[in-house]
Amino acid sequence: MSLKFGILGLLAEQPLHTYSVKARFEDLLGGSWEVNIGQVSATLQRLERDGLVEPAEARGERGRLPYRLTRAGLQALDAWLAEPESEPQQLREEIYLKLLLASRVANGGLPALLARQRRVYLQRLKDLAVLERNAREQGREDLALLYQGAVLHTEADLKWVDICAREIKDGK
Amino acid sequence: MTTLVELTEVSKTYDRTSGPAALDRVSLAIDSGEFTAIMGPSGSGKSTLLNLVAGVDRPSGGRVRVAGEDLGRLNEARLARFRRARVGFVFQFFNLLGNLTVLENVLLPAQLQGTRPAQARARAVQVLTQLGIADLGERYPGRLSGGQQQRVAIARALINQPFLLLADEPTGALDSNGGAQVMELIEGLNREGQTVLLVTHDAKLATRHANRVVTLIDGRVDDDTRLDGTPPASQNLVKVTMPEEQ
Amino acid sequence: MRAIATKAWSEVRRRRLQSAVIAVMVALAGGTITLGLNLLLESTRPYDRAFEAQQGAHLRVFYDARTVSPAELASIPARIGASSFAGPWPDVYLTVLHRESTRGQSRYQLDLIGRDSPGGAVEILRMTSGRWVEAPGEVVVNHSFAEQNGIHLGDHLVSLHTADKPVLTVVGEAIDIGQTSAGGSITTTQRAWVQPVRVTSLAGDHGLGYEMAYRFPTTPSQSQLRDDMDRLRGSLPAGAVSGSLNHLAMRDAYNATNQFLLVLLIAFGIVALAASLATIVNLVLGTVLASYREIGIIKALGFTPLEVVATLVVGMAIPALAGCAVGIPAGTALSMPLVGQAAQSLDLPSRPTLSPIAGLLTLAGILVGVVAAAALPALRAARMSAVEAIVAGTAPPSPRVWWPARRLQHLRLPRPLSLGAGDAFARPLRAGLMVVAVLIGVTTIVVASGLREAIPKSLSTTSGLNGDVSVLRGNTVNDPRVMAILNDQPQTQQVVAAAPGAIVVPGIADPVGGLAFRDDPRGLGWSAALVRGRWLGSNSGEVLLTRGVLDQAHLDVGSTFDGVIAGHPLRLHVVGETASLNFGALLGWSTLTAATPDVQPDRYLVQLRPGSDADGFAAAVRAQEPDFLTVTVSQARPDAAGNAINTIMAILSVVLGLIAAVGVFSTLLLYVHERSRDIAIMKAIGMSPRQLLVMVMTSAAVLGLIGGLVGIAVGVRTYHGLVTQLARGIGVSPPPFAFDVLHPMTLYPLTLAGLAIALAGALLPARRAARSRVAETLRSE
Repeated sequence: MSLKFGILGLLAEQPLHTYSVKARFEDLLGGSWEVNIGQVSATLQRLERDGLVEPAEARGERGRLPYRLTRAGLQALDAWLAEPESEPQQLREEIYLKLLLASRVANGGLPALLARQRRVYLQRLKDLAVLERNAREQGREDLALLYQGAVLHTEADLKWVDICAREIKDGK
Repeated sequence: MTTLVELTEVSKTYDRTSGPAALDRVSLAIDSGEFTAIMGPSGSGKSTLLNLVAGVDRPSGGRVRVAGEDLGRLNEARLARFRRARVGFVFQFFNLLGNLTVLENVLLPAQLQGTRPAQARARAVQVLTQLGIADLGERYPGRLSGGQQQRVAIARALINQPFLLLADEPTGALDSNGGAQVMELIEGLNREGQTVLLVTHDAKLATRHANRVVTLIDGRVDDDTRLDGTPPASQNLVKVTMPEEQ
Repeated sequence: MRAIATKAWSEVRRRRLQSAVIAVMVALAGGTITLGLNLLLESTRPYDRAFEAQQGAHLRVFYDARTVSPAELASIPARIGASSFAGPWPDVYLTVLHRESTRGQSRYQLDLIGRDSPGGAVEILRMTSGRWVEAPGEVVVNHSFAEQNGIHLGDHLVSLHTADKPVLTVVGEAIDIGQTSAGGSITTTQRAWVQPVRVTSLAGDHGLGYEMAYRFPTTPSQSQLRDDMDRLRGSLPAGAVSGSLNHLAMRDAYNATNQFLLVLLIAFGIVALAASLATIVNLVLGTVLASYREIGIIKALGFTPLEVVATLVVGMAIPALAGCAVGIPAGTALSMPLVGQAAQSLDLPSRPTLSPIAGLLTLAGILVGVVAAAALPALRAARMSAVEAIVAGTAPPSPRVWWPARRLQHLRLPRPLSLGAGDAFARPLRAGLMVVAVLIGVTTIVVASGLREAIPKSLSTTSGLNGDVSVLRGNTVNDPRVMAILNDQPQTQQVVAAAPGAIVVPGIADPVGGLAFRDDPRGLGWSAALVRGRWLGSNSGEVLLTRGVLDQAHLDVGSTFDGVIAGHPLRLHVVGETASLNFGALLGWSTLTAATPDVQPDRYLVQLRPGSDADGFAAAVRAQEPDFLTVTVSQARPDAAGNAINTIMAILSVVLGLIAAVGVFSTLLLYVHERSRDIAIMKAIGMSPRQLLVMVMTSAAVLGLIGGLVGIAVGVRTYHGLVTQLARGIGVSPPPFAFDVLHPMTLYPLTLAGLAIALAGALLPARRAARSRVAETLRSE
């Protein structure tokens, strides 16, 4: 879903061919994500089929065809950007699963688990702060904002760990 | 690295008859050059710990050694001398004296110590310049922004070149921009070798600037983490997932 | 109502210290005010009351029996417009010996008056014991004279006036409004009464006169009396009027000491009132302002504005009432002996009951002051919303920096000193009140110490004027005999012979009492009694006059006037001003003999060789002529009025000093309370307890020093004013030595008094500041 709109977003800036799309993507996300060229090309074809992108008029370098956004494509991108996020909360980190299992299986191991996790989060906050600072130094305010989002998520996770620790402590 | 602050089994009780201890047998050592953040929820005893290290409060039990002085053994006068020579204290609400100018506020600890006027003045100008507020010397604190006031407070804390800079929620009364600037300043001082002990409830702030985070819970040290300053590659840290199209 | 009472009481207890200070201040102020009011109420009116009750004479005239007859005197009242009169009473001045005296041989000068009854239209006598004279050998004496000299009913007085030495038996005591004061000195005359026919025989061929007492339809003024006297003298042969005494002079004589005391008391009572009220207002205002947070909270709890005001006012009134409960009775108790003393000198019943009016007035005044001081800021607080009040109470506005404060802050002194000096002026109004409190204390101390020095000095000077021993000659011994006796004594160094001589001065109703010296008396200390001009030369007609005489007669040093001595007109030249207390005029012997060529000295002032035994000398002289010489050894007895003045000034110094100290104390307490955050900050950044102590003490010291210096200037002026007033009250200019007592060496230490007052008041607040806990103060942000 997101790749589709990511490509639409990049093409909204300027017409791009498949390889440029991949390179732009990697640049956009600051190396935090690697895109498969096949995925990009397949998605582009699907988008062309759906009438959201179309080949640009002039052939580019080495005969590759740059894509550009159609009117329908622009409308679809606008609609997506305007639509608030309402997907279910995704708790992907394994710690949530570990918590559920450890509270049933590992007697007494949970506080230590939480403490270790807490340290990880603290270090992660530090790391994100450094990355954020670096991003700013490189003039990448957008990336810095991404790291800020990560910081806030980590802060939430840290708070959650603290709450868990307190609950367990008080429950004893 | 030498140990600058050493707390050994330190306890502090406010209500002698009952009530929980504000600090309960806390042991902690801080090396010079460190930037340590004391974290914890409100009431966890972090300000109490700071006050004990600053010598504005006395422990009910245990020993507090700072810069070679056993604070519990100092009388009030020697404790005052310790405070003005060895530590600089930065408060949440700045605590500047409203009827003195910025320069006079900054000069005060040096004057109390009996530094020669010319020398004190030179040092004050140096500190004010370092903190980027050299032009505010003749103004009164009440007319300055919060961030400026906090810089003045930091300048005042630094005038006597203390071994230890103590900061109690220094950004608590500032907007995020002003707070960030003040913290960058403190971190900069630390990079130049200033030992800093910061009290905050804000994990983000603590981890961003400190290289060590001590967490207090219910008057005890719950965690003591040293942080690594070099982050791993970005992709090992953050991943923006792109779910496939359904 | 119950909620108010509970809350008010809890406020009183919460602010224990401030409440205690208010109570102490009110007690001190209340005591002083009660004292002053009591004296005011009890001392001014008694003379007038007694004067009216006893139909006191507006004018008493003494006639020479040799020149006028009683029959001639009968037409006089109508001539001068008197509405009622008494007399003529024959009278004679004579010396008597108290036979039963336990103090050796005691002699007194008596003005013996012949009178049929104690009653009449004018000058009624009030019998206090015994009965009126019924037989020729009986005498009634003045009550206070009898009391002071231990003369009892049945005792005998022997007249030394005539050679046959007749004996009179005391049968009664009476109170006499015409008596000025009951001193024991030979220069004061006591009055006694016998049957009229007896006077003639007692007088023998010497000194018989007539006294008449007149009352006028309306109380006459000084100038009316002067006109009356001029008319009287004009209508009678020269020398017929030998003297006169008017009620204003009598009143002045009474007032001279008592009035001065009263002026002193009222002045300082008002000052004490102002000082303590200022301090109380300052304290109450500060306390109420400091409770704004509390006010906000109780308003949030649902107290109405009126209930808020009531709570604060009641909370302030409780300690004020407690102070009144102590101060007012204490002031009343203290005023008893003083009022008693004033009454005694009037021969009034010695222990007048005090009316409760003074106490009630004081109570009302203090309550009004305290309630007003509490109600005004309370009203302001009551009108605020709960939140405003809490905010106003939590974050007091940063005091503006007044320029002297800035100046002092910049002084190149150790920082605690310059900070403290600057803080002294952080609040101009409060600084002003503190300076005023100290100033008043120091002023009082300066005046008290001046009077303390001056009163004994004037006493010793005055007593010195009589020489070491004074001898009064009875008229049966002659002058050469007395001179021979005195010069025969090996201890005699110098004898100054003198005789009294009254001078009729134009423009003054009564003849001015004068003393003529046959010898130069300056060696006896009379030069100290010269205020201006020069001493008497050998020329006839030279006189020295007192300020009172000069003023009344519109004369000055250098003037010349036509006076009358013993019926003899003389041209007199004023060569100087004297500060003599007993005589309005001093003159040379040649001047007196020009009027009465055959006059003989009647008193001899003897200066003894250094180291002589005055008592032995007196005994030796007395032995030569046991009956006809009255020998008195001079001693500087502290007089009652002087003592009272000194006592009152001492009390006032202590009370006002205390008020000032408590004022400083409470002001600084407020300061420490208000600045507790700043003090905590300074402690946190390393100000040591000693430096803090120095800082707070310095701000007190600066104000104390200012108060002290200004207080000395004001005190010296006040002292000069008071001494001049006191001296004028008895008709003289203050002699130069009265001002010499306040020389710089006395005043420099007194500057420290202001400092001491301020520092005493500052000590506790300063220690409180030094001991405050940093962590707690900065935590309660």
